[in-house]
Amino acid sequence: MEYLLDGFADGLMRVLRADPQVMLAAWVTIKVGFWATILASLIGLPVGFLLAMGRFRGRGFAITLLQTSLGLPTVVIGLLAYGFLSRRGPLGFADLLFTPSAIVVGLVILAVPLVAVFSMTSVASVDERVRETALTLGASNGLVAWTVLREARFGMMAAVLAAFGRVSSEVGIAMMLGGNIEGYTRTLTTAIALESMKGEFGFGIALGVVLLGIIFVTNLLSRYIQRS
Amino acid sequence: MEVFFLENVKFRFETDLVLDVESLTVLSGEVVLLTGANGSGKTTLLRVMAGLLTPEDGAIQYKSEPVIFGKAGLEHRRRVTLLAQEPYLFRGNVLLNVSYGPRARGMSNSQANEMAQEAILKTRCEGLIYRDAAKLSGGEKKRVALARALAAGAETLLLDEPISHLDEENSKLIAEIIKELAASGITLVVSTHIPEWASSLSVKNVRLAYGRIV
Repeated sequence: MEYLLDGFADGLMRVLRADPQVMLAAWVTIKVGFWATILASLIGLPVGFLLAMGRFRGRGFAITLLQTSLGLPTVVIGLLAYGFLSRRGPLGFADLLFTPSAIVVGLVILAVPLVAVFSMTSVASVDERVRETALTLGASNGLVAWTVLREARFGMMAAVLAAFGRVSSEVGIAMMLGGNIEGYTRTLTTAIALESMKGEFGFGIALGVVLLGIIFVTNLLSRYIQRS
Repeated sequence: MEVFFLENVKFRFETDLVLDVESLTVLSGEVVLLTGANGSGKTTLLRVMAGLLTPEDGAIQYKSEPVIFGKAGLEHRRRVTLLAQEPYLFRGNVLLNVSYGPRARGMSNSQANEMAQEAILKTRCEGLIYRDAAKLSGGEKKRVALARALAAGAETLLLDEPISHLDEENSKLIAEIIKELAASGITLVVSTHIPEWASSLSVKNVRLAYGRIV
């Protein structure tokens, strides 16, 4: 028990002192999380919107595929992306493996289905009268789509924030594609895994507190947006 | 001048024939009152006239031209506006809602706001202009939706049960507004299941039962 309490005390002291190693890992986490969320949103939001609004052949299959990929294990994503990005892989020429960009690639694969499914749900739940009201007020097809999108905007923002929360707390992809290089690709989660294996429990706690703080703020924002 | 001309218009909901109008003519500047019990086909008829529902059979002409239904019928939807029984107000304030129609027609924000303000005055909504649309009462919502339909600049307004769920005061106010709109030359087709409410209006009565004009 003493060992646990000492660990917590050490962890909190490191957070209060703004330990440079903890802050560096936090910075890498936020940086890769930010870019992965932006890129995943650029792909996932239009996909979710099209699946909610469109009526085309293969739509049902596409939705099932996306929903299935929500449960894809992160190590599997890491493994596949590793295969593509390694020197022998088809994208080996880009020399991305063990760089923050490689982590971003893996996290984008993880976050796209999440953003797409959440945004699809949010667009699909927009009142049916929105489309009809826009039509009868003389809106063009483009404006009708934009109006529906505008009505669903809070749900879509919540989808983006949920994706950020998910990619920030991911460990398998960051470990496999980033290589856990200190100050470069070491994120909060990979640092926690490493430090706890080294027996540095306090350090692990400090990293965990910062990670929880990031996710807590993200969720607060998401709740605020949804309540708006 | 003939505005609407309908002949042998049929609409089926799944297997049920819910609309079967042999003939209906609406003249320019006329106020047509569609009456009938709940489920008599008033809403379906208005939605067909608005171009939102495609009839399975029959001819519908607007100013001697066939009505184009659905998304392709933009031209028709800009001439004829439907105010639904339970109107939906978009997120945002009243001005944003009322200026939607003019903005949809490509007007600048200042022009759209000017048109919206005119419609707001006509529908006695001037005290609500910057209010959040989600926080309005039922009567206020109906008036704002009417202002929005009016600001859209349509030649013909189709009003579906404009006084449903409204108290006496708001119902009288809506009747007054309709009277003023009719006087300004706008063609109106108004549905109601309480015909007494419209006794102060000079109207052509059309009664529907089981989807047919009786």
